[in-house]
Amino acid sequence: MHIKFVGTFSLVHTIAYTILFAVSLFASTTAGKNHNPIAFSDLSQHPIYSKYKFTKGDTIVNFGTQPLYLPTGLITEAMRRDKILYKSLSELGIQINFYPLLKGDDINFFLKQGNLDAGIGGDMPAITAAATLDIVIPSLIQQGFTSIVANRSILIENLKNKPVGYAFGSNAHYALLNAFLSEGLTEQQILLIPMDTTEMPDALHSGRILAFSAWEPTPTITLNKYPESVIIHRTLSSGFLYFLRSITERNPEIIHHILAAKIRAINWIQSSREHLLLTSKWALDAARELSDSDISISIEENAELAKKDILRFSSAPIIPENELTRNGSLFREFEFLQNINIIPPTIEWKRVYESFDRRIIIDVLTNPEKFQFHEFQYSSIAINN
Amino acid sequence: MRNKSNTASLKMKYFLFSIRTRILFYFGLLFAIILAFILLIGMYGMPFTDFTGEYGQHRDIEFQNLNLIAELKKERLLRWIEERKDDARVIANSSILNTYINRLLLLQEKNFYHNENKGKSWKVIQNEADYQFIQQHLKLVQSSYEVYDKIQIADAKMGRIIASTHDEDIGADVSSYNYFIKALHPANSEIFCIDKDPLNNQLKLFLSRKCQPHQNNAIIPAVVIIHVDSRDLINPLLNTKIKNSTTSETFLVNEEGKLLTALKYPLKNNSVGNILESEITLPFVINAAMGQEGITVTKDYRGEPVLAAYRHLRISPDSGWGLIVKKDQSEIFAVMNKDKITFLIIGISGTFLAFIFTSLIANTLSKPILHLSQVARKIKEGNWNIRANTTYKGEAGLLATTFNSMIDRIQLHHESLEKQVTLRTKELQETNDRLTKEIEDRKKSEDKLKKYGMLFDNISDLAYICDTNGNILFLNKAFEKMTGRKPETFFGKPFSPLFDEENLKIAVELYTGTLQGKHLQREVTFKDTGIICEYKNMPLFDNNGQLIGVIGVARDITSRKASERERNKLTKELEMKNEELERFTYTVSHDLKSPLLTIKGFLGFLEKDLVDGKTEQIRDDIKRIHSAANKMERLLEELLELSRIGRVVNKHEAVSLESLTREVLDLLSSNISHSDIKLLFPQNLPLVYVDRIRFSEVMQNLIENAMKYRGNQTKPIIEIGAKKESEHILCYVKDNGIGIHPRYHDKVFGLFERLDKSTDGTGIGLTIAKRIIEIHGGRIWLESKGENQGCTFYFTVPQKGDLYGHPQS
Repeated sequence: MHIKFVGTFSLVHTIAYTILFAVSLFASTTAGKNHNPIAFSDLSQHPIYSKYKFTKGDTIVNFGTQPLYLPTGLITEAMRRDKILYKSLSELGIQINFYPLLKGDDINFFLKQGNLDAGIGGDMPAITAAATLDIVIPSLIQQGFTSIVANRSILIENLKNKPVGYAFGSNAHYALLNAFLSEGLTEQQILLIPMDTTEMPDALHSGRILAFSAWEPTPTITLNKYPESVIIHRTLSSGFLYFLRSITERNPEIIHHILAAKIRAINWIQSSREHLLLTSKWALDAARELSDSDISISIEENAELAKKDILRFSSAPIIPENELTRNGSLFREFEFLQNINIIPPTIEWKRVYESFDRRIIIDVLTNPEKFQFHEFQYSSIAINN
Repeated sequence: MRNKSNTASLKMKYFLFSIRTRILFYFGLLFAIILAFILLIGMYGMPFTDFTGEYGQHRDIEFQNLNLIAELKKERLLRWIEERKDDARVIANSSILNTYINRLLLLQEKNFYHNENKGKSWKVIQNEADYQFIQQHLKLVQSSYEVYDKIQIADAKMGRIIASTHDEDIGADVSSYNYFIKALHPANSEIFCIDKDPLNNQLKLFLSRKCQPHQNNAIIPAVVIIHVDSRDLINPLLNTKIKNSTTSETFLVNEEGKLLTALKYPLKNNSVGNILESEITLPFVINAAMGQEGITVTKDYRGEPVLAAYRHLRISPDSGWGLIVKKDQSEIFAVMNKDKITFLIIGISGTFLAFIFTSLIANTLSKPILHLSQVARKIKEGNWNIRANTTYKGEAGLLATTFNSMIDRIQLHHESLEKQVTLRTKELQETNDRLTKEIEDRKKSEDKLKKYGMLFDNISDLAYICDTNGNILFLNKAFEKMTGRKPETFFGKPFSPLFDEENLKIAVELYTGTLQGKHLQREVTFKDTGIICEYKNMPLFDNNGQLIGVIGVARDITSRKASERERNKLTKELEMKNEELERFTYTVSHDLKSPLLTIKGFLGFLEKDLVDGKTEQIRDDIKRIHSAANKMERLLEELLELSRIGRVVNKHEAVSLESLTREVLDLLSSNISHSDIKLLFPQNLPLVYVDRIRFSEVMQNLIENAMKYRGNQTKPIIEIGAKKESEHILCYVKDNGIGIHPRYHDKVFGLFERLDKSTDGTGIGLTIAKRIIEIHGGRIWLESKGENQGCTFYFTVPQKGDLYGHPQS
């Protein structure tokens, strides 16, 4: 594919995006009205979220983070402390607020309600959001492995008719079924036990389950706590940063600056081990503040996980083009979500595909000076709590 | 021959089912099964449990090893790649180097644009100090890591090599190569790929990065390109052999499944896998390229069963490689196969030992039993003096002792039995001889019977033979005609169903009497046909004079009996007639004598009176004589009339009793009118089938008598009536006159009988009436309670007749 360099947004582009936004809004409204299968429970009554006061307005951008989604937490915690970000947005008349949430589905809930304008989610929540909301997904924020952990070294085929823990509808669920499929087994041949990732290590050790499928840091926590555990399978999974398309209507530069903040954070973390460990600490603190669950992973281990993940790459976190094709993993995940009725069958892949926009990050990347990728001004505490 | 094969088959059967064989077989088999089970579980694990056996454990260890190796290789590769990227980054980000590169670029541009001889201009650069500095720097980096084939700097705008560790590279056009194009993408930093060297077309590892001395500067002046000879590094990295393994292999594929390293073995079609051309589309390879990691039991590109650990190497956010580390299962489980052989040897040896041991046990167990069976055989052959060996220990010894006791007892019993048998045999022999003779005799009798059977069948009388139990042995053809039953239904069965109770009694009496030796004859009637037979039985003896049954003949005497009855009837009638004739003769002679005596007497008186001249007396005498003569004449006429009845028969016809009664009453009307007699008779009197003339005589007679014998009845009534009964008409003439005492009821029908001699009449009327009624087949009688009680005469007449005019009842 010939990469076209795009400069600043022209009037034509603005009109085009506006029309696209309007059409998408109409489509999503229709889809949402008739076919939205997602049954968000009222998370506004959640004990954690009920305390949040979402201030809304054209000058406010509410950004949902997932401190428990390691290692992306390192990036978002750095972003929360990025003075350049706040300054850049304030020059646009925008205030950014960060709201930590527990998981991607929660972020989607508040995006739908309009309480959030942007957020982070794994591939499953991102695809679900793309199918049911009008969003734009400009970049990766995580690329690591979802693991199947067993209580001993066994083959996947040995999990046939055995209890396996999983989180329904997550990329871990998808990874589990994919692993089974690669060994010629079907979903009906697994005894799936839905559970929270926090329960999985102890359930594995007690023998309640023979294995579980989960994203980091649950596998690392399990291996630390119960050294006899073994990772028997891994599947590459991704996380994305996505925005309600309405933000571009307000000012497309908002997305650019936030993306720039992300790139800057990655560059800052990669620039030294000290930064890596510091952001690792920030992420763990934020995770523990949000959840009472045992996050028995050290700063160093968390840092190592981050290094093996997206932070391994010095390249920008651009969404791989081959993942958006019909042979790609995102399309297969989309089909999986339709099969388990999270996405209604009437939603077409095209809608999801068009949510992914690689050009935005390229726009940002071609302006390193403007977006100050290599200038770092980080506060020791989160600027907006 | 047949006996030999039977014996052989029996021997085989004995061998197969003997205790020894069975213990050997079952215990040996059981042992073998248990051993096999234990070995199999030990080898392959217990299903539905976590115990995977040695096979599973060995496999798990191999898996762990393979996983570890794959992980190590992956980490090593990734680290190596990172190190190479670092090298590229260092070069690309070196500000000093970039300064010289920029100067060189300016120079190049000036030469390029302003010198038409481009080839020459590129070579000219080599003499430039900036070029030499850059080259020196590059060579320094190259020397730091021996596998760097060369390091180049390419112009970002034109894609031409402007500096290189190798002078001959200067001016080469790399603008179309992926490693150059991708390096220029703003999202990409280091690019790592395998491609062909444009200069010599050899496959190489290329590491490229855009030169970016100022990270905030979007302008890219040049691209650093590092050539790495994969043979020098990657291959050793990948081909680090697994210890003590000859079949292990490691290879890399890109995201399309195309080989990035050479294969150890040829492909399935015997072709060699070409780097960047051949695709390995096996599922685990594709999975590895697409982002999955794991371990699997599968077949490799040769079709060989292997254990394969696969890893995904993420080279950049948008590209990745698949790393496969595999080992042939045959090698992995070669140890197990050796163990299998060992186990097999152990198993066979164990089973063999078990068989030997079991055989010894079987021997120990079966020996006393065999000994007992030998002893039993000898006893069976007649050697009663032999006994079992009681020296065996335990149950066998107890069995032998008990066996011996049993033999002693049996021997005693046997001897006693033998005596009895001898005796009984003798008796049986005698009985047998007797029976044989009996059978012979019976056979002879049967033959005789058969011989005479035809004769018997042709006689009209029923011939039969019964045995001493009353069962029929023989019947001739006449049986069916006599009894109405088929003879074959009675062979061997008793004769009782042929008779009713009364006749059966007679038949049984005849049969039993015959058995007692009497020659008896009886008359018996068959129930079904009513045929009367005269049975003559006699006892039947065999040649030894033994009574064996009864033989008899039954003659049909039904017609004879009927004739006898008829004869008796006729005789009786004749006697009655004779009596009647005697009575008649007496009566006639007596009654006729009376008027004759009167005539005779009064003739005497007349003679006297004539002499005396008593005229009045003479008249009276003549009157008396005249009266007596008239009486005699009347008597004779009525007698004649009586005799005519029965001889002169008129045709019978249907006569209305009513009209006949009226006719009779008309005849008697003068008498009726001079009396006060009331006549009663209904109008719907039935028809009667009679001789009209004779019947009117009857009616006339009866009515006249009723009128005559009314006595002093002031209101005499005569009632005439009739009613239909089942087979006849019952008529009656009833009066309320003087009646007749019951003792005279029969007498009144006698000839010349008159109860009241003062009345007129001959006394023949009722006799005539009776005769007429009897001729009609009827009956006449009277009912009267006695004097002055009135009298009713009843008589029956037929109500229909046959074609011939005969009345029918």
